[in-house]
Amino acid sequence: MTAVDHPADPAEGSPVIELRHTSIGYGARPVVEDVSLRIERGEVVALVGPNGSGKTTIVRGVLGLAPVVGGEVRLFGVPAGRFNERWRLGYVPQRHTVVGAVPSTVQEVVASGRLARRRWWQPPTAADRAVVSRAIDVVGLVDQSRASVSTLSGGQQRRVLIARALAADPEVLVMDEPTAGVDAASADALTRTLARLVGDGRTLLIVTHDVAPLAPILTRVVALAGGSVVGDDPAGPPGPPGWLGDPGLHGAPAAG
Amino acid sequence: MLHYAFMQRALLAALLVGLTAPVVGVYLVQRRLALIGDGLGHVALTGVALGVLTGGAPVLVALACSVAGAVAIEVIRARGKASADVALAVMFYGGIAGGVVLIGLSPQGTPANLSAYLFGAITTTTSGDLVLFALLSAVVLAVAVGLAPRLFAVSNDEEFARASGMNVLGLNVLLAVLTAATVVISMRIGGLLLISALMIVPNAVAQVTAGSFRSSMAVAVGVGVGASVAGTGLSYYANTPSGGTIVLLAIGVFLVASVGSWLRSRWHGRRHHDMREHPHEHGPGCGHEAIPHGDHVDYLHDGHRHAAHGAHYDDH
Repeated sequence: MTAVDHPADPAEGSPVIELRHTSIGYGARPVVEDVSLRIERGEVVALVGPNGSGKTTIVRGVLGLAPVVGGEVRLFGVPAGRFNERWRLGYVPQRHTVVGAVPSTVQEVVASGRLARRRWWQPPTAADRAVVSRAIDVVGLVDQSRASVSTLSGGQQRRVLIARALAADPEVLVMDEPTAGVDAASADALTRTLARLVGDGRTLLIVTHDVAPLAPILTRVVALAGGSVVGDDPAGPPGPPGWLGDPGLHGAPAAG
Repeated sequence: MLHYAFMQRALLAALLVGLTAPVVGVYLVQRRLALIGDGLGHVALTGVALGVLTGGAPVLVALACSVAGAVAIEVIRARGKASADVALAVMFYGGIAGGVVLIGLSPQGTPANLSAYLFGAITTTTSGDLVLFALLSAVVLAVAVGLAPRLFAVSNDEEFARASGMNVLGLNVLLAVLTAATVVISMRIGGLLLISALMIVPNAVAQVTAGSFRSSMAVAVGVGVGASVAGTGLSYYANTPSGGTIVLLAIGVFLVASVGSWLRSRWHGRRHHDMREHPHEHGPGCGHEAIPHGDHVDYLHDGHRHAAHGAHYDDH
C-alpha cells in the first residue's frame, strides 16, 4: 500500500480516537462506564482484558455499532455523531469465517471494502481496482484472489477481512481478536503484515486476549476489567532487530 | 401453442419472472432470508383481495400492499427485538387470512378466483398486466444490477457496511421493496404459495455450481429463465398448473446439479485438500517436515506431501 494521505483535519494533531468519560452499552446498565482514552496517530494499541471486560464494546462504540449512552467519542477531533468519513477507520471484525450463503471470491469481498470511498452512482475506476489489488497483495493472497472464499483456510479468511478493511485505505485499523483461533505460523504471518501497515504510518487499535504474537509491533497496552480502564502502559521491548524487515517469510506458501 | 395470444403473453411473463426473480433472490439467499419472499406473498394476498373487492386494479393494490409489508418487515428486523420473529409470523398469517376473507366477501369471489391467485394462472395475464410487469421488471433489474456492489456488501456483512459509513437501513429497505415488486410480478405465474420459489431455487443451483458472486447471478438467471419458459410451455402440453410445473423443473435442475457437484468433489478429493478442510497453513516452522520440490516446497503430512496450489493442497 502507498503511504497514507492525510485529509485536512479540522483540528490537526488531535487524537485519532478520543473517549471522554464515555459509557457504551444498552439499557440501564452500560457495559463500559466512564472510560477516557486518547489514541494518537501512529500508535499501535492493544486493548486487553478478560471476557466481559468491555474491550469489544469500546471498539463497537467507536465504530458506531453500539450506542454511546454517556460522555463523548471524538474521531479525528470531530464528535462521532457528526463524523462522516467513517472509511478513515478500517474495521476488521472478529469473525472466524467470511463465507456467506452465496459463493464469492476474495476479489469480490475485498472490493466491497472500497465502496465507502465512492458515491453510490459511481462505477469503480482503474484507481479503485488498483487499490483493491494492492490490498490483496499486502495480505499475501494474490494467488487466491479469484478463488471462492469458502475454499480458504481460517487464517487466510482472516487476511481477506484485513484486505477488505485496507481497500478503503484507512488511516486507523480497528481489529477485534485478529489472532484468535489462528495457528502460530499464521499469527506470525499476520503480525508481519500488520508491521508493514504500521510502517505505512497507520494507527492500529487491536482487541486481543493474547498480546504475545503482537508484541513486536505494539507500542501501548491498555487493560480493561469490569468496563473500566485498569492499566495503560507502554508495551515491552520491541522484537529482535531486523525482525520487521525479514524478507521471504510472510504471506502465502509458494505456488506449487 | 405460439399462435395463441394468451400463450404468447404467458411466455413473455414467464421470461420476465425468470429474469428478475433470481437477481433479487441472490441477495435474499446471501442474507439468509430465503423465506421472507413467501411472507411477502402472504401479505400481497390481502392486496389482491382488496383490489378484487373494490373492483380496482388488483396488481397495483397488491404492489402497494406488499411494499408496505416489506418496509414494515425491515423496520421490525432493524429494531432487532427478540419478539421480531413472532411479530413477522403474525403479520404473514394476517396477510393470508385477510386475503381469504376479503375475497370471500367480494361478489366475484369464487373458490376458483382464489385458487388462481394461490396457485398461479399464467394464461389469464392480460396485455395491460404484461406492460406493467415489463415496467416493474425493468426497474427492479436496473436497481438490483446497478447497485449490485452495495447490495452485495450489505448482504454479505451488515456490520462492516455500517462501520464503513454505508446507509444500511436505506439499502435494506430498498432490497425489501425490490422483493415486494418481484413478488407482484411473479404472482400470476407462480401463485402466491410458490411466489419466492423462483427467487430462491435458481440460486440454490448457483450455490452448488458457481465460484463467484458474479457467476452465481449468471447461473441463477440462466436456470430461472430456462425453468420458467420451459415450465410454461410444458404446462400447456401436459395441462398442469404453470407455477408447480416451473418450480418442479427448477428443483429437478437443482438435484442434478447437487449430485454433479458431489461427484466432482469426490473425484477431485482424492489428490486435493481444500484448505477449509485443512485449517492448518503450512509454512516455515509449522511443525511438518519441509521438502524442497522443484520450484516449491512440499510439507510432509500424514505420510504424504502437501504442496500449496492456489486455495488447496495437492498431494505429491
